Amino acid sequence: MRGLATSPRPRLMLGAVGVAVALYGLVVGLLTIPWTSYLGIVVWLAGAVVLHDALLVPALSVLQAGAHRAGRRLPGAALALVEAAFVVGGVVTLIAVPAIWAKHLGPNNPTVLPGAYGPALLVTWSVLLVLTAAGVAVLVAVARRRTTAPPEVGG
Amino acid sequence: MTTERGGRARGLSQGLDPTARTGRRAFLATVGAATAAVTVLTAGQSFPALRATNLFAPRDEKGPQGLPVNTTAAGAEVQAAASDPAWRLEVVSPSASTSWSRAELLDLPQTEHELPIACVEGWSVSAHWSGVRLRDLLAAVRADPGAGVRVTSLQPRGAFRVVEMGPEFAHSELTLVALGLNGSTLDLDHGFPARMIAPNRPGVLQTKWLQRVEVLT
Repeated sequence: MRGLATSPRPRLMLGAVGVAVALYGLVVGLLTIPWTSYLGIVVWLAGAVVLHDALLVPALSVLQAGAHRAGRRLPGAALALVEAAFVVGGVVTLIAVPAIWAKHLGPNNPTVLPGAYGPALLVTWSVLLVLTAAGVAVLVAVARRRTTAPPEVGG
Repeated sequence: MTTERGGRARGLSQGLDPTARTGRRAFLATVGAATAAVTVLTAGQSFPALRATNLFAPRDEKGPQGLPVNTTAAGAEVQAAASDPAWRLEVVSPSASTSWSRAELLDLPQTEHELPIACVEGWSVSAHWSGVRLRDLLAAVRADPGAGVRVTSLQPRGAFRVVEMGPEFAHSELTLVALGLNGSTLDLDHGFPARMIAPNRPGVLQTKWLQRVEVLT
């Protein structure tokens, strides 16, 4: 599999496009944003890093270690599916929790935070768990059939 | 055991080794799935096509005239002043000044635009605005096309009671003193009798309950 992502030239081109877009954003930012706002922007950007490094990554690492210990008998694809479901659920939870909290404090008019964020979060997690369980069941069944089939079919 | 060996041969089994890291494809697929989930579950606040799955966005189409409200007329304490039939919009420049009642504004040439309210709190909803081009009113007081304006609201207090707009906004053909919204009279909570709506400006700077527009020197 020597595809797009492993041959060096497209990779360099993708990197160059990324660097060019980032530089453009930096130049536009420096030209259009008053310098008095820089501190606020840095705090805002740092907030995303803190949220990612201090909350999301540790939580997912613990979950991943737990999943690997518990899922030693699962095929790799099924384990990857479980991990993906927790990432999706975690990101949605990150969005929903501030809304639930702010709604709990009381928005100043009915058009602010109109959703039922708590029940929606429960439903989302339930749907995720059901879909993931179904996917894992299918992947386990496929893996089992492959290992019981003759070696040339199992590859 | 056979499962493990078979899995490893297919290259899927990094997950079986507790020290292994998630494969690149699985990682990319996971990021893609998370992005898609957030988009589908929140973008309905700005894209009507995704309204049915808008579970987590901070706003939706609820609100007077299908547009959410951040500060209500009651919250801004402008109900009396904004409902006063004697209301007039003052437009002042160094060389002239004039004022219009709402009926007089409605008699001027009307323009319609689709422009979003893009709030710094992280939501944005497009709406159909109608009203008078600000630059037509500025022309009536012989404003310098290179001059910005200071816009004052009827609201008695608030950080954005008075805002300034550069000439690129004040003289844009898209900038309206809006009198109507989505086909009907501007709601009191959306800035009746008249509000400013300019392209590419944060929602907090789209002054509601207009009182006075002053050309800067």
